[in-house]
Amino acid sequence: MIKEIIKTLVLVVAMYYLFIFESSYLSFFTFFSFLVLLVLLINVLEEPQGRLGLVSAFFLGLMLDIYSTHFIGLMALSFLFASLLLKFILFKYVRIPSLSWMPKI
Amino acid sequence: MPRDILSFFDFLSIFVFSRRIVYNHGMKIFTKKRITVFAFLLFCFIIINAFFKDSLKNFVYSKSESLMASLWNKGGEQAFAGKNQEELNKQLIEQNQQLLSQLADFQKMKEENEFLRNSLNLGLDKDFDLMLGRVISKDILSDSLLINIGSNSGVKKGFPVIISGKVLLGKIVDVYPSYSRVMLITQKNNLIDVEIPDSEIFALSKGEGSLSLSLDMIARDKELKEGSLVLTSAMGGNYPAGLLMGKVKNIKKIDNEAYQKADIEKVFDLSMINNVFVIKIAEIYND
Repeated sequence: MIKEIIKTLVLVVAMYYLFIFESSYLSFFTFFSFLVLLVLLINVLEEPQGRLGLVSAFFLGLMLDIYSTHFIGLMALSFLFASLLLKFILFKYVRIPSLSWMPKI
Repeated sequence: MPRDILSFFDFLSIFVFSRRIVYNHGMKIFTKKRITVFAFLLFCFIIINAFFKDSLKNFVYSKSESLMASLWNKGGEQAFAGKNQEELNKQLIEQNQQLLSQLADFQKMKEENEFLRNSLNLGLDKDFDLMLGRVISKDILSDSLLINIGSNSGVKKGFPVIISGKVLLGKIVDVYPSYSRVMLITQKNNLIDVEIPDSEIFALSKGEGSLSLSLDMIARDKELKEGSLVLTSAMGGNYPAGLLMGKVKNIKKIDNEAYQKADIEKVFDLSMINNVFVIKIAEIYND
């Protein structure tokens, strides 16, 4: 349990700094969000039982809500739902080689 | 599940990923626990939005302000340095020549204008009441900026935001105690009444997202020139008249369409913007 909490905290801190880096420094260079792409990749590549994709999608959504004009929670819950839906589709109908070395939460 | 979709996934799985499809109907993704957590989060967010939205955002912004502002400056410098200097110089020389020719006309007009102002006794010495703000970050998914002045400094929703040279950047859409969010003129579907002074044309500027702008609703019978300046018009009531928005380019006059269209070449470059001015206006009509 404590291990899971520590891993989640590490993920949250990493997402926070990556988000700050993307929305300030990288906003001049990229026309797409590499964090959204990263979260999508995590969701696609992790094992279906894993929760890393769900947690990262939720926190990315939360950061997007805070650093935009949206209501807090709109993108967080949308991303969480999208992540669940993606897992459902991938789990039920598609099998992609999952990365066994990806950390689990 | 329809057979054709299944066969598509079969194909994808076997030939692309070289894997066998594994169906495990015993495991559920939408479990009772997950749905309960989702509902609980929804409830929490409703409470946060109702009572703590502004203070929470302000708190997070204050914690990340210094880091974001320095990263913004560094990113801007590097992006600017990375552009082709030779091409930039060529463009600047061309622009300079055009501006010099315009300057002579404007000096004459200025004299006329001053004479008329004095004659009419209008106290328009100072055009705008301005507040200086610093850019902290840009929203990832939309064209909006975060600046470091908010309601504590007297910023209100709807105030126009400009940069030096009276170039319109956007308007304030969200105000927190120490920060504000500026919606750029390029934000998707952001409509602004504009005019093209040298042809006396009134039209609408439409944000296309991804830092691009277009010009719409231009009467077909009007003669539009490439390179004409696009200024804000007082007709919309949102912005003071005469703020520079850009130049006309790519004029599209399609036979079966009621209006002409064109693109607007914006005159600001985000990589060069560190500070902005918020204009204090007395009344906001359409906000």
